[in-house]
Amino acid sequence: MEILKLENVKKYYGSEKNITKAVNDLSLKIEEGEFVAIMGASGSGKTTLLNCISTIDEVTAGHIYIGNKDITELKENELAKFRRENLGFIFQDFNLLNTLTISENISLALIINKEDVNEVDNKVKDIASKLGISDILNKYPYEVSGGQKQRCACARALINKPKLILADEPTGALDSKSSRMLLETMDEMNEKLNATILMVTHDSFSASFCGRVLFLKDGKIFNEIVKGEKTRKEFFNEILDVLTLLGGDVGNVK
Amino acid sequence: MLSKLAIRNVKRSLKDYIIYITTVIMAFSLIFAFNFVSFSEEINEMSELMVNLKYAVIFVSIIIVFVIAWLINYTMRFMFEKRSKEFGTYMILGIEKKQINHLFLLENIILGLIAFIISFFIGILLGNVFSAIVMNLFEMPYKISLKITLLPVLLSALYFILIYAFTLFRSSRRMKKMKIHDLLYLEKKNEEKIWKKKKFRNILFIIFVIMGVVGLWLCDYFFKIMQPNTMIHLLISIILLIISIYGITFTLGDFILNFIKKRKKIKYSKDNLFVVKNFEAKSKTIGMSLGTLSLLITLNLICMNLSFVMKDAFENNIDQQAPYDILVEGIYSDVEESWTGKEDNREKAWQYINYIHQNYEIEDELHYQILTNQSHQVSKHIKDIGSNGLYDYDTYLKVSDYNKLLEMLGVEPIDLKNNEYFVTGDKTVEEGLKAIKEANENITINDKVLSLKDTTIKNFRLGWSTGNSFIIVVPDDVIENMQIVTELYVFNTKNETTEEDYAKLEKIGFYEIEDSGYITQYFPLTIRGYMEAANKSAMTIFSFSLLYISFIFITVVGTILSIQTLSDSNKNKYQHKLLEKLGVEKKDIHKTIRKQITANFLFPVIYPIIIAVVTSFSINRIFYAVTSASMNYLVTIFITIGIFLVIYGIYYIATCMTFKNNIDEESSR
Repeated sequence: MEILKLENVKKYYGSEKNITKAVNDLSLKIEEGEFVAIMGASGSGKTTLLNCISTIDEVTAGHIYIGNKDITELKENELAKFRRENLGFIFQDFNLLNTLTISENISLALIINKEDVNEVDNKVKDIASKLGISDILNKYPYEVSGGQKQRCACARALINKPKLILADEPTGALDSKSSRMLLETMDEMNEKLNATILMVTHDSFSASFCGRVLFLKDGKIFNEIVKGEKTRKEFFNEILDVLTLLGGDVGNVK
Repeated sequence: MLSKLAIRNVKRSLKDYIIYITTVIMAFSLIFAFNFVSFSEEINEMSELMVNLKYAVIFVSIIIVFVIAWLINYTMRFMFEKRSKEFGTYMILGIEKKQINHLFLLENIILGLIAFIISFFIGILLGNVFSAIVMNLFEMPYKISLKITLLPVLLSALYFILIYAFTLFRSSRRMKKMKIHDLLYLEKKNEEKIWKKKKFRNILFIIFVIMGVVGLWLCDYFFKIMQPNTMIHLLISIILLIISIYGITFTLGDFILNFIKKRKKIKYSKDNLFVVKNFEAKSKTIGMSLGTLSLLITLNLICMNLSFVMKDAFENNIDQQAPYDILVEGIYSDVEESWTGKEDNREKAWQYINYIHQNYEIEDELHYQILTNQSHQVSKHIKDIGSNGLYDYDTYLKVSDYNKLLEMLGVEPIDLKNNEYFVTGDKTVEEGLKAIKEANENITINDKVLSLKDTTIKNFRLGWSTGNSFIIVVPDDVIENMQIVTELYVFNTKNETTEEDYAKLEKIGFYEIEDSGYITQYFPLTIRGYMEAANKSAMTIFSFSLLYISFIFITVVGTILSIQTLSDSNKNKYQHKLLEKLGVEKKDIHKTIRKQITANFLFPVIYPIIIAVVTSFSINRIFYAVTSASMNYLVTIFITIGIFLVIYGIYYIATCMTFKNNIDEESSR
């Protein structure tokens, strides 16, 4: 089943004289249960694309369907409801609320969705144990490490069982050990909990955990590779190959 | 769950909210205190006129409500920006904007109410201090019990509601306009440029300076001429000054930058470029509020200055107009046609005098006359504008009377030889007295030649002369065959006179004065106790209201500057980190920061100080005559500026310290 479908999405910035075509007539589809990475150099439009899908930003033209609903047509209050029922977010800088403890941060999504109060604690404990953060539940975000914060953000994104999880450079602020742990967690989320994840990254290692990698250049999809039966190592090398190609057009070298 | 979250947020982000709470507490403590005092029965009962204090304070409160609303709106925006990311996160999680808005409003209301209640108690404390000062002014024993009545509390609550209705409305609007994207990335917003063409901007700066000069000149012209038809001058002057204040704030940053950019020596020495660039960016984005701050500082300085001048003027006025406990004037006159020969008035005068003799314990008294021979030997030298008194001829006083009058004031008598005369006057004829002294002419009275002993502006009391601003003191034996300008009787009573004595004596009746066919009643007694009460009331009302305004303004200015600087500390931490990475030592970074903050704080005060000094010179033109001889407008304005700078300095130091902490905290994380 299709979870996400983009049709001719355009996002332009700037004034008439100086237009930046951040996303330029882009279409793509993501099936349920997929773990997809979007890669590209800085300025290729990755984050803009993700922001459009996550309803943080509005598209200039085109349509975005998430689970058969066209989010470009939704009004602001409808969007809020839509986000809370269908989307989960993981950011590079975590976006946790410093005034709330880790467990409160995780439960926030449930509270907003007005879930049964008695269920909340159990659900939090459950997801926390799956992500290995049970022992820090009563701490505040500023008391724990970056990796733990990001796993807390994962838990928050997951707890509602959203249709789609959107991750913007989730390993960007983490050291390599934490990065690996987080990516393994996300991989598990994808396999065991059947979560659909769309991740933006510029790091090949991160991308090698995904099932499919889309390469963006100048706001368009430049290439796409699928992991299939390959080992992660082989897939990683393949990604590097595409990136080399992406990094410089043959025509650019003189 | 919303209210729970709000309360929790308030509790946990109390540290961030400290500026907000302090702002509201300071503002409302002052509002409470001033309202308590102005509505206090004890204060109102001190004098008939004191009831007007509450009306003055209510009137002033209208201005204050506006300014405080602006301030709280500003603080709220600061908090909003600080928490924009949090709100963005809420929205990402799917909380509707409306709910987030409610959450923020709820938080603000909770905090506002807490601050309001705290200010109530601080207000009582402050109110007691203020009323002690007022009581002291009226020389009353002070009891520490300012009764708290309902009305001032209700009024303060009304102001609170008005202010919050406005600010909450503004905040809702702000929130409504925000998109998630804006909220999440607000911190990364760039400063914008307003003036695109450099040439244009430099010309504008010069135009604004010229406007300021013209404005100040017009203002001075108004106070010099002081006639109803010059009101338009004052109005134009005020408009020009306001435009000039805003304009200069907008353009000065660029002007300085332009100047420095062209001079490489300054540009690249030390951290100048960094500080100046930073400042340029600031004056562009927040030029409007910086302009308002400058305007508030200007008003604050002028108000405080006026308050001091008024205080002196009123105090001096008592000594000028009521030097003795009771003065009866116009007992007899040869020249004053309106009551010459009016037997009724003469009788009435003696009725007063007899009544006083019978009912008061007299310590000292004097019956004396002001005389004239209708000559102009001395008065021809007096050319000061607006100072020619009722009569344009010379008026004389016997030296024995003069010395007695001085003695009654407790002043050393003068020694006048048989062939000398002495001229005494008030400050309005200072120039004239100088001219007399320079001319050093002899005068002839009844064929006797007198030489000038000296002139003085000390000790002259309007009450002595009833008419001219100067009087000529001559030996007793030269005044034969002179006309009586007026005849007076002064008393010093053993007990101080009061307002009630006025009422008692008033019952005896009034003079009837015929003026171009109309008969008007005139009360010829000056009673010190009554004058004192009236003057003190007027002084308290004026000074109190003006000080109220200046206190509030200074609070507003200080807080807003601190907030601006501190919100920069959040935005600028990136820059400072960068400097650190580039190899600048921490010590030097702190130095740069201090320079930046100093520039921020100094910039909005310089122009207002110039305006305040110049206008104080202009204002002095009208207050000159009524203030005491020892009063110097320059000293007053510098004291005013001094007081302002001390309070301002406290804000400056507090801001420096917090800023430093913020940056250190960031880098240690």
